[in-house]
Amino acid sequence: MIKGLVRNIVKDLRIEFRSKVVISLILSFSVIVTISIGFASGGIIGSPMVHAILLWVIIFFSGMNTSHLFYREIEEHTALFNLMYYSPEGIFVSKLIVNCIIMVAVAAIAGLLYLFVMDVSVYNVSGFAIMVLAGSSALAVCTTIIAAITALVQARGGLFTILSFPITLPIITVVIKSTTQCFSKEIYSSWSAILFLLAFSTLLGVVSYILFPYIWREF
Amino acid sequence: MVLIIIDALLMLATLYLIYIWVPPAAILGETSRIVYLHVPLAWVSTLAFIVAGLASIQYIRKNAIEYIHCARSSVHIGFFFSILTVITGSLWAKVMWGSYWNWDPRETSITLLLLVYIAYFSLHQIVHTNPKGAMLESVYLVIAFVASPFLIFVVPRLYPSLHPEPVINTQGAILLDTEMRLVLIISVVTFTLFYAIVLKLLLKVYKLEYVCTEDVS
Repeated sequence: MIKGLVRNIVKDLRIEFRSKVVISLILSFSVIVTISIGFASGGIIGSPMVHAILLWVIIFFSGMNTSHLFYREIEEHTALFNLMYYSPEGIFVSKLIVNCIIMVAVAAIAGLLYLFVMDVSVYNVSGFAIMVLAGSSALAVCTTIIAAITALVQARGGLFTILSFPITLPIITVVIKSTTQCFSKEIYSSWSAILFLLAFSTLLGVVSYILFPYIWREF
Repeated sequence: MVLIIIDALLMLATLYLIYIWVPPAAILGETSRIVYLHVPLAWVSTLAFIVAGLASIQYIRKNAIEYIHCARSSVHIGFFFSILTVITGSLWAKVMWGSYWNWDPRETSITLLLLVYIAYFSLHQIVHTNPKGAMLESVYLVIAFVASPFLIFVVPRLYPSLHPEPVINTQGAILLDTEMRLVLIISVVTFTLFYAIVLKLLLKVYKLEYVCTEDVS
């Protein structure tokens, strides 16, 4: 089980890095949006909250390009082949881990780029790093099952964002609030936010894990 | 038919109690009467979404078409009642807080719930002709069902709210006068019965549609 899982994760990551289509798409998106914001605002956005909102909007929409993981299996007709070797649960967990890795990488790159381009001061560096890590992982966990649904109806793009956005709003709300505090001088503890993200993503992750076999076998 | 007559009579009695019998609340005045519509509407929309979630779970477990019909019907009713909740809430907000929309966490949370189900309708439009699409709809409704408590109960508590404490408070108690509480409970029962009647009618419509489609194919 574990060996198969690792093999599947390595395979997916290898495909990602070989094709480079999605990675370049995500990077181009975050670079273009961040620089556009910089140009439009002239680099002078004073409010920490506005910075936090813009940063998470960039991360969220950059992450929306990771919906292809299941779509590729359908498009290349490898879904049935995969089912011969791995259980649906195994497929789900491997895709979830790959999604998390990509999402954390996207958030880290987009976050650093945003701080650099917009010249934002981070007063709580460790809190900010934890928030980016926890927030992006939570986003990945909650959107993996939505990616599977949209892949199965062959409706990539718009539908994935429409279905994901309301479900992930609690995450976005909490991370924006915590990131705002990291960008301002007030002292705060990020534990309650981390606890919330952990509880929300664990619950949705477990439910998605239970539900995934029903839709993957059905199609 | 008996249920419809009982609910019609209850509805008339409720309207009489709301607009004539119950005294206006202190400080809030006559505007407080909207609470007897606003709270039951919010309750029914929540109940409808819970029923939709539970029916979806049953559909996934048993793969019986009546469960997805129940989920679809309940979502439609819940959505309609949520819109009415937002409208009655906005009207009251205009009177009490001076603006139809104040970005109060509770105002926002019901709108977020509406967004979840607007997204569901988009999915439904794409998959409803697909015989296997019902499973995808059910899975999304279960995900929405799990995420909704966070939207309704957790996120609003992260921010200070303008909503009155007598109805929504941390002790979970309804701090209203006996008369007001009685009218509120009667109104909740009336609207819940109304929901049950509409759900039953919609289920009949879905069943007829299904039978007709089966006959044609």
